[in-house]
Amino acid sequence: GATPTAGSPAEPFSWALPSFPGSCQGNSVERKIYIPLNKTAPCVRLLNATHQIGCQSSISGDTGVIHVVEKEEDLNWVLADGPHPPYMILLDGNLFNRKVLMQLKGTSRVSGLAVSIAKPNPPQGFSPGLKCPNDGFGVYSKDYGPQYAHCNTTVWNPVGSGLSYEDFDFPIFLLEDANETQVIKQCYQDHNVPRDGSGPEYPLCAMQLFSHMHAVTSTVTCMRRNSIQNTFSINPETVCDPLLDYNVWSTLQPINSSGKVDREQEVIIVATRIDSHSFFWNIAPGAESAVSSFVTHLAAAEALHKASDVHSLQRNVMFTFFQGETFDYIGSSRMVYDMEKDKFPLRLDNIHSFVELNQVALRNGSVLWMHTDPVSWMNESVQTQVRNLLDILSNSSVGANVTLQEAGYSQPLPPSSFQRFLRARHIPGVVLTDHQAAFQNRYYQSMYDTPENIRMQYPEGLSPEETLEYVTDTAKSLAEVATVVARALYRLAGGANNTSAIQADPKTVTRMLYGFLIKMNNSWFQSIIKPDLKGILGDVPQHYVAVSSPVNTTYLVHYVLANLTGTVVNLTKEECLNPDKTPNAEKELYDYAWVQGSLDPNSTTRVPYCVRSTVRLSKALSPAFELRQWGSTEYSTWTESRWKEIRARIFLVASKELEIITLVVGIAILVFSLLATHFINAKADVLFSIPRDPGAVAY
Amino acid sequence: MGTAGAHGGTSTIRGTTSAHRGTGTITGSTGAHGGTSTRAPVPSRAPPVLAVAPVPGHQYHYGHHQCSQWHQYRGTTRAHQCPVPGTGPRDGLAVPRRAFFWLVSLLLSSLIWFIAVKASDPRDEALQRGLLIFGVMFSVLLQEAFRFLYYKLLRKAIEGLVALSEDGCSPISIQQMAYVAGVGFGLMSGAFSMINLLADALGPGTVGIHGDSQLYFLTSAFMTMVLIFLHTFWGILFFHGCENRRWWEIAAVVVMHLAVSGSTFWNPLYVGSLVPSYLLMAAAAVWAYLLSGGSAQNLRRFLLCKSCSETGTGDPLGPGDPVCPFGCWVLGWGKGLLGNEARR
Repeated sequence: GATPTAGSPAEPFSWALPSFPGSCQGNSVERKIYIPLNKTAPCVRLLNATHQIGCQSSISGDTGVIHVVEKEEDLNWVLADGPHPPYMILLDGNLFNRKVLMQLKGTSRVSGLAVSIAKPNPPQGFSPGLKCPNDGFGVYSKDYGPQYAHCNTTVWNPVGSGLSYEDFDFPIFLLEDANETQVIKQCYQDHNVPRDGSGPEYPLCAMQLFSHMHAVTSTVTCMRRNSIQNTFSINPETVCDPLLDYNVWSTLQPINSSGKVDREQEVIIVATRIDSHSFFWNIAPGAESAVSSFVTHLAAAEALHKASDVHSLQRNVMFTFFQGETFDYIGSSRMVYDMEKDKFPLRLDNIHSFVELNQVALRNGSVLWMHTDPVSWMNESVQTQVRNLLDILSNSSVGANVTLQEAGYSQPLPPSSFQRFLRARHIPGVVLTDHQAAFQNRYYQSMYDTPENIRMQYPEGLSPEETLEYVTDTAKSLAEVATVVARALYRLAGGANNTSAIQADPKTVTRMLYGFLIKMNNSWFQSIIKPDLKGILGDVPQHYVAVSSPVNTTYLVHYVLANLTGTVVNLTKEECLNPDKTPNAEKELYDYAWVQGSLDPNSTTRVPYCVRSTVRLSKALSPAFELRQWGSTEYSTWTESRWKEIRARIFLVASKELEIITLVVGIAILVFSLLATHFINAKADVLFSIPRDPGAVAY
Repeated sequence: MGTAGAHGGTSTIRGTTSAHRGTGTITGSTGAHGGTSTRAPVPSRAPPVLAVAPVPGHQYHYGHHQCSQWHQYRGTTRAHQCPVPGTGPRDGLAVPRRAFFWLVSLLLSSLIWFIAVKASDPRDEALQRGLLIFGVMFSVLLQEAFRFLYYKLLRKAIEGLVALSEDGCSPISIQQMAYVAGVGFGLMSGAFSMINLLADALGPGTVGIHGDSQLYFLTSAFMTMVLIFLHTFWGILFFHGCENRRWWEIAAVVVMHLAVSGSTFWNPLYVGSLVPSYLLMAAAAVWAYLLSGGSAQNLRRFLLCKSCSETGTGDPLGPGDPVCPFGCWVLGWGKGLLGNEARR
């Protein structure tokens, strides 16, 4: 909040120095009126081919008298009794559900919503995502397993309320800081509490939320407007941008990234998604829905790379990290599209099999479920391959603390990137999850999908550095999954040696969990990124795909993967940054990264070095935008609206009476002074007739 | 100054005689050309700039219009008669000039205060408050110094004007000057203290979330008003004091200024600043009124409309004619309401 400076008592009339007091903190009068809310996250508008979802305010912000709603009964005041509509509701996190929001959506007595986070997480679960995520963009349709389409067999996310996919015409903000929530509640207590049934007296505490969105209706409309602007305007104003980013991929054995691999070469794809979502913009912790799986994947990649004979394996393994999967499979659909159009080093025919990791942290006991496509079972050749795949996976878990079980033939695949590959080819594949049917995750795609959700617990009183290295139980169990996956991949790739040496490192897993879930700006991440990327290490990690690319998650997955699977090469900075000028660099096969290294223990300097890896980025922009099919039903069409300002502040509003009194007094004084001036001027000769003072005689 | 004065005279003649030739210039050829078309022709040999000797036989002189032109908007010219205090077009020029002087003093004092604040520890609240008090007091003294400088400048200007004029008559009396200077000073200070407030008064919020008074805007407006009035009266007092070497009048202005500024440190206890300021304003008003030719008797005559009955009918000057009956009617009506017979 704005704390008055020492001089503030004199400020109202410090006419001698009117604008200078407090010039360092902005306008002093404004600080007397407003308390800005700095730690908020808005709900913004996203659009697809047919709909707009999310929230927006009017162009000059929406204002309303604050009412705190902590119980459902409090809503009556807002919806019916309160005498000062429209109301700005401070909603308790536990009431942020579909029933309440639909009630609020249907009334004009609400001008906006500020939601406080429920602590602890709501026990009944909370997911603003859909009951059937990514419905319509997976493989199941009326042409392919119609009995499985639209989650007819299994509702994957039963707690999903679909709130994220509703359109609200008032702003909704999340209050991230409990202190700010307390300030608002205090203001409400002081001014707005209804007393004895009658309304509170003015002045009332009010809130203003700014989140005006430029795009409307649908992607079709906003992209058309963009293209009209780009064609005719010399100063085009974009109204929406497609969600886009980069997929991260690398291979066990290096392949020529600019050429094509042989048709005979077989590749096993391991995939996870690296993005999540929540109701609010740039809040997407995704602990279970994304981080648990891609951290396991990264650990498996490291373990497999450490095996001695990986370069002589019969088949290659491709580690793939898809971006934007939450929004109708942006990353995987683009990769399949690129493979089909020969814009990718691999073809779909090269894919031997597909293993996907998808929400693996919340296992019941030690069971990991293997989901397969029931339609593929009908095809005999594929069936054999799938059988083989399942057997290898099951065998790999022997002796490990993970039991792999088949989820059953009668159930379709859960929402997964693999479905996009199945749409193109009958590829044998398996999706590994911690749930047999419905998600174990009760906070799918919500702001509560936090480290606590995957039971990451640290003892009290650890320093950041100790926390980074502390191996949690979650890390241990994910490392076990990674070990099993890595061993299975080794076998799948044709490895014949004993797999007991292939072992994922729980220390790496726990560092990754800490970095991707708790604090990005940690010493390990600092040491493995390029020096010019220092700035991206924000404090609180989030994994929303966004419209500017690459996002932090992509960068970090890239560098973590390079660090875990690459090798340190003895190159100078110049050679490392310009591998095409360096002999024997094999630029087509390898990616070189000049990373800043860790801090010297005894000094403040870092020792940078060059890392050679096979990590590559590939564009994750939905083919719908490549093809300019903005109404596509095959590819993701999600766009994010643009906006000018997102802001929230609280203040007092005066009664209309006081405003009118002020105005009337002003007008009265003006009229009076005009009249007085007129009369005095008219009778100046009477009033000033006898100059008594000889000195004042005019010249 | 002299050039401007002569210029003004030239254009005034044109203005009164043929309004459509409004763009008077000071070149000789234009003067000659004008002479052919005006009703009271100016001899073509008349020097357009700085007419030193009066042109005989002509009612219109270049010089004396500066004396009388403030009356012309009333549709009459009173030649060879030095004006009494009043307002007119010439005064309008002094207001921005005066305002400029106030701005310079503001700039200087804020600069000094700014440096002091930047150079000091921002967390030391007592020190910051001390600095603010120092800044305000310093600013007050600086403003008064600039008022004095302005007085000096105007004095010189008037001497110049007098030297130029043909009837030894300045177009503007020192009293007018004092009044106009005070208004300019006050308006600028008022504008500067209100602009921030007005911008924020647009809403949607009002002052008070940190516990400040609801009446912040209203009290600020009243304070600004009292300051504008005070500056006007101080201008008159100050100039009068300078003119007559009455140093206690100047000292009184400075003391009053310091007192009013100091009283704002009572805020947010607005009674503590508003009431003393208004009392001071009343005192300053009475004082300034007495100094500029007013008296209780005059005031009584004004209020009771005596002048109307005495000058209302046959007064050739007639400045009050259209107004006075109405004014008296209002007053008379008011008295009638109280049960007294209106004195007409």
